[in-house]
Amino acid sequence: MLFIRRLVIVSLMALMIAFGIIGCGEDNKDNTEDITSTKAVYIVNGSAQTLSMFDIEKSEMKNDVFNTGKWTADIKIVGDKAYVVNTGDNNIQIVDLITLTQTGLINIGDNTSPERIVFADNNKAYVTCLYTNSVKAVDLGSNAVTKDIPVGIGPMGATVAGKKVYVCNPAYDFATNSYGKGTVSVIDSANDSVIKTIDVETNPLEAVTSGDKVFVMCVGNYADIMGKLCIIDSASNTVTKTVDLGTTPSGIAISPKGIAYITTFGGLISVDVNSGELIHTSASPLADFASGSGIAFSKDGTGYICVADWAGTGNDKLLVMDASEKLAGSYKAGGGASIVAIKD
Amino acid sequence: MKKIFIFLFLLFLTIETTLADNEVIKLDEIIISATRTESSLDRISASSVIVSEAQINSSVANDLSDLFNTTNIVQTTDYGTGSLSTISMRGSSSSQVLVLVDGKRLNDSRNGMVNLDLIPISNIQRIEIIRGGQSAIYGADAVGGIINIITKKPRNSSIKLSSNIGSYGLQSYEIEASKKIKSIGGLISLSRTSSDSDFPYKNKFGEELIRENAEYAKRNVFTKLTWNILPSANLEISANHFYSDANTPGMIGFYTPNAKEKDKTNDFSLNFRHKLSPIASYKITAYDRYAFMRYINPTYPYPSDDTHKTNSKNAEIQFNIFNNTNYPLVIGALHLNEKVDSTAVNERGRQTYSGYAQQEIGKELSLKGLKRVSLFPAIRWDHYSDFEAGISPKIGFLASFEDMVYIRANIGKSYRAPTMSDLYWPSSAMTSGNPNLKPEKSNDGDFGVQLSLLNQLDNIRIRFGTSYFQNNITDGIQWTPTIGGKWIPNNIAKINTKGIETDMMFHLSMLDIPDLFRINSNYTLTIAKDSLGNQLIHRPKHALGYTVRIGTNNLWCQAQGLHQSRRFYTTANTKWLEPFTKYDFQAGMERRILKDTKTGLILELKNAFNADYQLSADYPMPGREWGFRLYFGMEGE
Repeated sequence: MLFIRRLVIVSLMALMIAFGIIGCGEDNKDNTEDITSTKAVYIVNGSAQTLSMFDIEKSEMKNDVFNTGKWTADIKIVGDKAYVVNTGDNNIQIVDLITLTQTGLINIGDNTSPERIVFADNNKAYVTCLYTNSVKAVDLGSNAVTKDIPVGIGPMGATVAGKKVYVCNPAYDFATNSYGKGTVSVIDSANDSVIKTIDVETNPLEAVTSGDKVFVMCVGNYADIMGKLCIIDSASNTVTKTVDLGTTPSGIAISPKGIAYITTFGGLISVDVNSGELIHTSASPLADFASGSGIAFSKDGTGYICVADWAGTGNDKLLVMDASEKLAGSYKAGGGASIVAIKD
Repeated sequence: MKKIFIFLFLLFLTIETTLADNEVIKLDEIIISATRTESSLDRISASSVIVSEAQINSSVANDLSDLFNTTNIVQTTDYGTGSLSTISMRGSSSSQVLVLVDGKRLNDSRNGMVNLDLIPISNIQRIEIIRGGQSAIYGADAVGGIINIITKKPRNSSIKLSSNIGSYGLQSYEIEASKKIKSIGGLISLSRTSSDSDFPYKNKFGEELIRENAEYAKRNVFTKLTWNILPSANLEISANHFYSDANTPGMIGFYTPNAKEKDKTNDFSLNFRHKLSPIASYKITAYDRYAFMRYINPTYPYPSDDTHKTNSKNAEIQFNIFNNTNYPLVIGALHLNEKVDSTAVNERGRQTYSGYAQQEIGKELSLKGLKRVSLFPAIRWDHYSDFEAGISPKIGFLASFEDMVYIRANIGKSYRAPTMSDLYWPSSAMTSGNPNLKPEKSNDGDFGVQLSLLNQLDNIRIRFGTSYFQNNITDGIQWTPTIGGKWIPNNIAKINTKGIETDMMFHLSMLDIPDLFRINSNYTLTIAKDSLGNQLIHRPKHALGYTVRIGTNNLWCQAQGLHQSRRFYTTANTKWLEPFTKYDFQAGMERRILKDTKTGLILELKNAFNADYQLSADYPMPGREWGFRLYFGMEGE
């Protein structure tokens, strides 16, 4: 019996020790250190549902500095505020970038699926809503939706040119898993009504503005229809040129030098904003920046491109492109780093 | 010796494992699933739990999801009452747990999962849960463990009527009749359950809303016929029809006010056993299972009308040799034919040929209290028509000291089959299946100690077991984007899981009433990490369940507690569902109003303190609910 006693005691103690070693407590992540910066890049980490902050002056990355909502689709920075569009929560978080705390929340409404936010001025924003086929006008004083503006099917990207808001309508049909006719709805911000609908190419997903030109990135159908860039003259609201990109694009941004850079799986391709001519084509892209998605430029012309690792192996990156289009740095970002915005 | 018992009991208290579960360990239970032959719980190497008939009958549960949500026997992830409830064991995914009914596979070859909401309680006599990898015995998908549901058998003349009434319009009615005439027995059970499920909850802006479009109605018919053809041979035929018409409300913020899901299953099985001699027998099993699922959502932007039909036909022969010796051997072979006809993956088929062998090699000893040592080698070969599986080996070890202390260890290899969706999802702009997928592979092992003091003490019965387990999964199937953003599954995931399970039972007899006071508890520590060291989503690290019961079989009350630590719902562990503790209370009484009859009433208060919790993000669970069950039974000769 002595042997059994010893056996019982030793076995249980061994298991308790193992329990203690492997089981103590919960894993807590503490982000209490100083995280503010005057010039910074903010990255949306889609799978982590957080923001990362890259301090431009110190060239330091701090990951998971702020918890976003679910399925964040857009981030825009106005002064010291960031507006984070959470598709999965049907809301927009207003984030104080000095303290990195949430200071407000705009409720877009259940079953709306907000996708992008753009600002007409300091008082009014527009939010595209996939589920309602509309754009919500938001009063930034009360943070409340003031009007629902019907647009095309499945609105996504948007941009502002002068007093007009250009809204991309990819017309994705969830039932047939295919795309209808891509259009761009033009909203007059003075009376919040659609003044024109412009036919563009397949799957217009994002739009950016340079001067009086609106650049609409049409992604294609991810199969046999390749991406195209439609250039709209905002004065006449007509497509003046269509650039065949020859590949499937992911994101677009315009540098201070007047070049539109487009992220693709093979690398960055680029288009001269003035001439509408391709500079780096899909056959000879800037390959250092392959697999990028979100892209943005600081005022000094430095480009920031995020690369998401959807396999979850931790290879999410923020790539830095200097003015000579060279890779100037690579920094580990949070899980699913896919959208980027700059405060500078 | 008494000092040891006191020490051990205090030890349980200090490590906070004085939880209880609802009679998780039933004394002197026979278990079939661990070795494919009848064994005592104390004569197998696998860590096992039996949910007894008495335990099932003391709840107001209508389906397996209801039953498991009140205990910590396994972890469930619930997507709302009546909608979808999946299971996890030892940190596994739902498709890594093999669920069987009388040995018949329920895991859908299309998606690998089993929906616990679609398994009615009225068919179930008891449930056997075997923890850890069991592919060496059961083949694919037995990575985290297996759950084998044993259905009811015909009894002597009996009729049972019961009804459950509860919150949010819950109504359930069941009638069961059973009769044995000489060598033939028959049982039929009819049941119907419906609920509005329109419970209140709060949305993300703190507004209190009512869960809408959550109602469901389910009906079930189960029959079983047994025939003792010879004293040494018997035939068992059973058939089951189940139909569910459930509305699906969607997640918070993204409601599907018009979505519906219809499920139908038809099962037919045949089981013939023949005992050839005291040491040899064989069993022939055949079954045909048809499962139909249709999901309809007419509302933009995801209008859909998807239909999935799965048909499984299985034939198996098993020989049990050297029964009642120290080296019983089980060998068998089977053929499984699975067909899927789906709007998602079109028409697909799979043929499986398998052979298996499992033996206990035991030896009685008398060595410093060591009374018996057994090894349990097992091996299984599976050949699939659409991917390679190969050999799954396993070996178990059991040492028994004075029939009080048991040491168990197991080590083996298991695997999960790629689902039809993984393999054959049609190629579109954004997704494509991968016909070159391999199975997910796992190497797992466990080591445990059990103390059983069932007859040694006056008025007290104690059983305490604790096990350490580890499971390394490679070639995990994960959907990731490739060139052009198309999502394709690949064998890239690696998962390491380790943890500890404890089960404890303490029964005290007083006032000449056996087991008047009972505490049953279990605790599970699960550390399931991906390749970056992050805890897998929806796997609580700590889970604790307990039951405290006092009373006789005729008049009793019990309290059940369930605590789970936070569940991460982002893979980077940046967000989680808050920990929760919920309590359920039940009280029951049973009386013989007429001769050979029994009439009973069970009252239940679920989630008594109105805990606000979710098991899957944005799918609210009900708060406080009441229910009662009234039953009447009559038994004759």
